[in-house]
Amino acid sequence: MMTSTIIQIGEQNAWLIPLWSAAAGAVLVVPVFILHHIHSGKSFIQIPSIVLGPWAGKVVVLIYFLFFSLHLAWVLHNMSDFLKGTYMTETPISVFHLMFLLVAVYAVTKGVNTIGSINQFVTPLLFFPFWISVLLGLPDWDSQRFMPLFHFDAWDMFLQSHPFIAFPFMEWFCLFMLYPFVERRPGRALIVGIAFAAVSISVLTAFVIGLVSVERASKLNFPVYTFVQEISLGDVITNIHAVISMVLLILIFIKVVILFYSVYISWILLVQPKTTWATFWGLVLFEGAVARCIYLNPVQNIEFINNYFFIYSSIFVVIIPGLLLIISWIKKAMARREGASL
Amino acid sequence: MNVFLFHLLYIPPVVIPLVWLLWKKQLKDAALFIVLTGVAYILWLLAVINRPIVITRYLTLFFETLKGWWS
Repeated sequence: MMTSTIIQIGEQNAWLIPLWSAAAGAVLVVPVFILHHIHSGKSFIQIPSIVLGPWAGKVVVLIYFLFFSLHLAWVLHNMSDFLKGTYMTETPISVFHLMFLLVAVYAVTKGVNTIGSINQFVTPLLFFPFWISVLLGLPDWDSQRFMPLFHFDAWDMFLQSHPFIAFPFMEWFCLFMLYPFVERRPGRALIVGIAFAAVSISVLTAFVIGLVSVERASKLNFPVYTFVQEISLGDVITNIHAVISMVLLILIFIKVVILFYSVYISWILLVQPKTTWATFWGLVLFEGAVARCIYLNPVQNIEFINNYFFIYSSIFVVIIPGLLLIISWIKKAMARREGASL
Repeated sequence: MNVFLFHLLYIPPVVIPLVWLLWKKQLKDAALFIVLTGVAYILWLLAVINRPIVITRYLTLFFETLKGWWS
């Protein structure tokens, strides 16, 4: 859905937007990196209690519980929009939400190692089917659709592309819940991941422009799905869009699992319940309801993302971590001064 | 979906775990379960009667108010 909005803003140069949005997103990682460097071995949600003390820390954890809950609700509703708009037009959206949540619960009960293993095993397997499906569209490629090339006001286009810095290039934030569990160079892995995502989205946007054209792509709900839907190699290879759908659904499932893990851990840290299954079941019903109510329809969602999503995400990804970092530095400096005076 | 059907689907998966938690004297967990499922109940019920609380609408209102103060 965001591809069509990118193309509306950038037109034939839209493939550049993911590149600089990712660069901006990578710059915004820095405060969170430093915060984790100071409090090494802790996940992001454990840091507020260390920096601010137990009570103020719990308030921050509550804020992040709500943030992760809303974000998970967003992802679930986006996914149900896609399924309802393409395959299962009659199914109520809450059915999709609850089915995904139940599978995510199973993955989360198995622990962080299982979540990591799912990513490690599944992601490379998705790479080739996805890109092969997209590359099958090459015979229809028209380079004229990129003309006139680089004919735009760079600063104006950068300012307009703020929604794409927030979505998806500030979404790395939930990965900091898994940060202490990564043994080898977690920071480098994250930056490489952001760069890889940027190049992938950029190439995909270029494909949409080259194959579908700016005019048509900017009016489609799911341009990638549509152009792959139109590919057919004779009477033998048809319905290639099923491959794309499966890849997208599995990628969304991975996102749902990580976000559900973030919601669960922040709830555990906040209220420390004793019964695991009741917590999971309560969270499933809660998330199902929030996902139903997060936005009314895709148009309202796009409007919110275009106008406010960057500011909304910045509060949780930049401002609060930035404040925690400043307080950590002040506390560290005060402790050093007290140590020196003794 | 009508209101009766919603209650028919929603009440058993909430009440059965809740009774079990109270039976096992897990009072804190029961209270937390009521909080989560209570919020879910309100959100779903309002959606069922076609008066949904649209969260992004309230977020928009919040940012618009902030903008008003700022300017």
